[in-house]
Amino acid sequence: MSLLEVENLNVHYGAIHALKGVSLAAEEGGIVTLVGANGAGKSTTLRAISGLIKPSAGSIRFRGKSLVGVKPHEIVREGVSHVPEGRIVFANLTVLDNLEMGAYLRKDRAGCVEDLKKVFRLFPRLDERRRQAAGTLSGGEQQMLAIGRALMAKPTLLLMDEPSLGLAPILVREIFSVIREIRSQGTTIVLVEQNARLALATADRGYVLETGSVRMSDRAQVLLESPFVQAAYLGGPG
Amino acid sequence: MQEFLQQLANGVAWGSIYALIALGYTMVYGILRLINFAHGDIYMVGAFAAYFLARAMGVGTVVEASPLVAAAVLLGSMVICAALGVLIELFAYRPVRRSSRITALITAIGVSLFLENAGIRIFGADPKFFPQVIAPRTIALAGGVMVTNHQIMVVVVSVLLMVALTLFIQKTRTGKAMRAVAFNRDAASLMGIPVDRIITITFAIGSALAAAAGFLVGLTNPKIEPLMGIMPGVKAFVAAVLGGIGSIPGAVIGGLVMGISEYMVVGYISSTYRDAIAFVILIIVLLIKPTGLLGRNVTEKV
Ligand SMILES: Nc1ncnc2c1ncn2[C@@H]1O[C@H](COP(=O)(O)OP(=O)(O)OP(=O)(O)O)[C@@H](O)[C@H]1O
Ligand SMILES: [Mg+2]
Repeated sequence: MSLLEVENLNVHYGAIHALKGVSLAAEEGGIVTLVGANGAGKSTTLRAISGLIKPSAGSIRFRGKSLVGVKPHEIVREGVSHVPEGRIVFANLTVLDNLEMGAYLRKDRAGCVEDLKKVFRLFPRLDERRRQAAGTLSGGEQQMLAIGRALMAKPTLLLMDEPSLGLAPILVREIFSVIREIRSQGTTIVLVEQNARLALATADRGYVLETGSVRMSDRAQVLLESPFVQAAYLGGPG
Repeated sequence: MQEFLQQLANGVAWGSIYALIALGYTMVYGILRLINFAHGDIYMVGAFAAYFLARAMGVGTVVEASPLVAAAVLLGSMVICAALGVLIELFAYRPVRRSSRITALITAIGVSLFLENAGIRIFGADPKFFPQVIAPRTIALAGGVMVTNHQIMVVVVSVLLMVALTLFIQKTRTGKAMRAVAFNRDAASLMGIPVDRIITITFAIGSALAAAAGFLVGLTNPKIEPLMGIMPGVKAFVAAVLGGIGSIPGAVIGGLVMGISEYMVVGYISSTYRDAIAFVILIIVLLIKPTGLLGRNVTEKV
């Protein structure tokens, strides 16, 4: 049994059929990436897993338990955290308060203090700005905060929606090294990316989404070398 | 000068009551983008709850009027209105939360009419005389300004409640969660924040503050009746808009400005125009700075 199993997932936005039977699985301790063009349904898939939208059909199982119809905050309690597209840090709260909100459901104060230190070790820039309003952070810092905030919930499964969006290349490398670091500490990751090359190079397994359906899925390495993926998503071979 | 100071003192006391009501409007708007038209009526229920509590306790006959008695009546009516606010949220607003804004607005107007008519049915349409939970006294301040101990109590209680609210929202986990939900509901729920419960708590707090205003108004203007919430409700709403709807300090400033300008009109122009000033202010705000004094731009960048 995989940690996360999505089967035949269908989502409608009114009349728009955004997901048409998506199936995917994430193995414990691995990184799975979803790549695809704008509007392919990557964010919708993550939003369905974390309970923000209700699927019209299909199943989502986490540790064998169905997540369909479960409220988002209960899904967080189950161990699934979601770093949303566009970061959406609480601009009017300080960095520290944002991180505190990430740990909202936790009762273990000592563990929270420990994890706060971990987040600051991962992102020393957040430590320097802990009393600053999150809205005054740069885009890259906001992304770090969004990731740090999700880690404060101590997730088993971390869903990340385009963490590299709009960041300078050096920051993208930094974020990806953090993603690998998070995985090495035992957290399973579902990574949505438009930067398919980097995502596939980092992930164990990949899914290529096209207009609401899975076009291809395989080991990430295999996808990287696939002529179809190279032509459509990697701008040609190499 | 003395006249000015006198009207200023009256205006501050009266404005504190607007401020307390405006806080509820602004908190609910901040979190739901809903103008809770029933809010002024909750204030009315607060006044009646205090009235019946004071009567039930036998104030003036069985027990002496005292600050302790007043505090008990105040807290009691706050608890009753908090519960009323929760019920309204649960049964009226929650079912339409995912509907269009116009649906929510019509629901709010419906709740308001319901409370007013239920009030007339249950309490009767004629004014009731609010019991004196604290014996009135007049105090001379510097410069020949006269205030009553009731006015002082209005200001003191309002300030205490506002300080408590600010500390709650700035410092506590629930208060921070309220701000997070107000900023972005989905993002808040992804943090594990139980959004529904936070919204319920917001209604409870806003309604309790309205109840406090109802009690305080009963103290200073002891005639209460079921439609008493309409005008102060509208004016407190203008106060919230003036301060910048969604902003808590804005609601306080807006309330004070409303109260003071109202008394300045009474003192220097004519009490006939007392109610008109609210609408003049509303029009000026909407023309010059629709986001209000402390309001952020409506299109919050996310
Ligand atoms: N709230 C919404 N209402 C209506 N349609 C929506 C909504 N959100 C997404 N869609 C539609 O669903 C489809 C999938 O959108 P989704 O956001 O999942 O794509 P995506 O793969 O994440 O794209 P991007 O790379 O641009 O973020 C698109 O056609 C989009 O227009
Ligand atoms: Mg997307």
